[in-house]
Amino acid sequence: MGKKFLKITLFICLLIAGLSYTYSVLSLKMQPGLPNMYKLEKNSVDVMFYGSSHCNYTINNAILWKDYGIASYDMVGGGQNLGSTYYYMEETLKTQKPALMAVELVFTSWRRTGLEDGGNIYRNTINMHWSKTFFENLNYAVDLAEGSEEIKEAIALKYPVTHTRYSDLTEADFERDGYLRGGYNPSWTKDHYKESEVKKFMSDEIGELREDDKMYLEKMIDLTDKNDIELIFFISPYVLREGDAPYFNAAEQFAEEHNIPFLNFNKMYDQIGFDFDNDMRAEKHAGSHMNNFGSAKVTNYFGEYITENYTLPNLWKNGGQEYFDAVAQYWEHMEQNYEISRLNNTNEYLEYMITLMQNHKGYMVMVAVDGAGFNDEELLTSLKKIGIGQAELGTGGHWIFLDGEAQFSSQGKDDFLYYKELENHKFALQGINGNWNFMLDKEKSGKITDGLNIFVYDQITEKIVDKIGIDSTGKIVR
Amino acid sequence: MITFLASGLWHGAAWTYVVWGGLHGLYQIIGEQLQPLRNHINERMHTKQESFSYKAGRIFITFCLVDFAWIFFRADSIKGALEIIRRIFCSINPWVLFDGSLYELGLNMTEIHILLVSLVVLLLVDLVKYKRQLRLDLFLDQQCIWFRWLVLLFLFFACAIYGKYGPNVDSSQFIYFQF
Repeated sequence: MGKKFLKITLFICLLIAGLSYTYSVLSLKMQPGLPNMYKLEKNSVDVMFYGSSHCNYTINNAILWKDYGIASYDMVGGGQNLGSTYYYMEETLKTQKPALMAVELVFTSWRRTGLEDGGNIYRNTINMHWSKTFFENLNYAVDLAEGSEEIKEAIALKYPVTHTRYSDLTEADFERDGYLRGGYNPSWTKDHYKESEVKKFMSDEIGELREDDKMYLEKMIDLTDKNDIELIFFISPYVLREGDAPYFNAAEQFAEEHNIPFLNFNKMYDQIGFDFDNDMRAEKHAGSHMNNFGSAKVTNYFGEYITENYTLPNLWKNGGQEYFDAVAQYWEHMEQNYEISRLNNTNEYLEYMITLMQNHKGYMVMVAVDGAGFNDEELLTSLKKIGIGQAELGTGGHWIFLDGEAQFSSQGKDDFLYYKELENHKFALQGINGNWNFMLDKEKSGKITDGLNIFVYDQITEKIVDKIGIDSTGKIVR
Repeated sequence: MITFLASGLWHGAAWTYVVWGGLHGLYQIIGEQLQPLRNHINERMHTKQESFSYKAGRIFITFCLVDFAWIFFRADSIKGALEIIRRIFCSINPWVLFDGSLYELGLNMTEIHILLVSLVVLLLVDLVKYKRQLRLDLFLDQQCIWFRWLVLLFLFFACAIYGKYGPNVDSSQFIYFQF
């Protein structure tokens, strides 16, 4: 009997371990907010931002950390109705004790109902750990969408929903630490709007909040009061739709009645210098979300506003600084990579590239010269800074730099091989009988033009930043 | 013939199902009518009727005939079925076997791999049944515990991960998707 019991117990343990592992692989990871919030160091975040994609595309946590020393996190969900936002706030308090919670309220006007976008329900429920909050959020989200009990059961068990991801898995799904970049979703694209379009549906009319939304706003106030947390409501800038403004005016009135600061950025364009001709991103949800230029304006306003009006406890000093540094570093690299990839002046390019590789860790640069004669003084001066002088240019060769340090030179060799295992990728440079090419994982590249060829790879963002050629006239070819 | 026509109609009120059933009836009638001729040919040719190759040939012919009938079962109309048949015989392009077109027919590469592994599992289960005359559970009972557990865990996770279940799956639609 004892032996049989032991066997059954062991088998069940194996089953649970298998289910737990396969669920961790199959679960939805590339989502802002959850499940990554659980990976944060406990009690390390000072300011939590909540809401839908409007918050996700607005608050750049890296800027708040780098420029204001504010440790923040976007605990958001795409298309999130107000009730789920409240449950996200409640869930946060199980692992974090922020001093300030800021809630984006576009969903006082908008509302996702029906099952047309079933993913909306999953996004805002399934990544929450099993708890009373999870089930309350699940009931709220499915009932609002008029979903069936079957959907509730499937999400409650999680596996019936996540198992379908087996054909969408990527390498990142198998990494233990996986994706951890904060909530902000960057974009440098631009969509252009005229003032008349933006202001078309602005109105001073005060509408009426929906009863359930009002209840959840009151619950947010109670929750923050009970936990001694400051609360801010805000609306991100976007092209208002018909009927939105009266809801926001009602929310503003509600906030005033409860003495909660309310920042409606759609009434503050001049104050933050918002420019609808440049600050909105090009995307399918036209006019909904800001690009990096726009979000930087709102984030900077928040940085200054919080610094001026609140004293934060700097919880990150107890642990967690590494994460905020990593988010800021990732963002810094994204900005730098964007900058270099749009440079078309050869000397500016070389100077920027040399500064990048010498001052910022994580860059791998390959320079290949085909024995071309360059006469441009500035170009020669720039290359000399990395040890490629007139003589080296004359004989030709390949040079590889990692974190600013020279790693390899093929000078004088027709046949050569350089191989480097980077954190998650493999790089190889090979020369046979004077012909050469390089491979990053399975992607093979070669010469773009006769003359000088440069390949820049960033280990922080794990992206090929740029591949360019500089021809004998000194012109950049991509 | 009437039985097969009725079984076609049982699957749905459409001419495609009637033709599907009718073809099966026709195969039976032709098979029966040609039996003396086939026997005669086999005798004259000294065909080794117990050999693997003879049996494999019969299986292949039956498989092709049944597949041909399935065209009518699956097609939206008789016209559609005839168009498929025309393409099979008049637009032969072997390149489609290699250019990735096969992955565009409803099952992607991952699903085709899953299908192949599943067929191997099915074949092994059949082998156990016919060679050992045992059901799978009885066969597993005779095996070492590590093998038994490995098979059970494999089957469980194969069903849990690749199974057709969940809120977006209607199992009745899966079984009779055009009924």
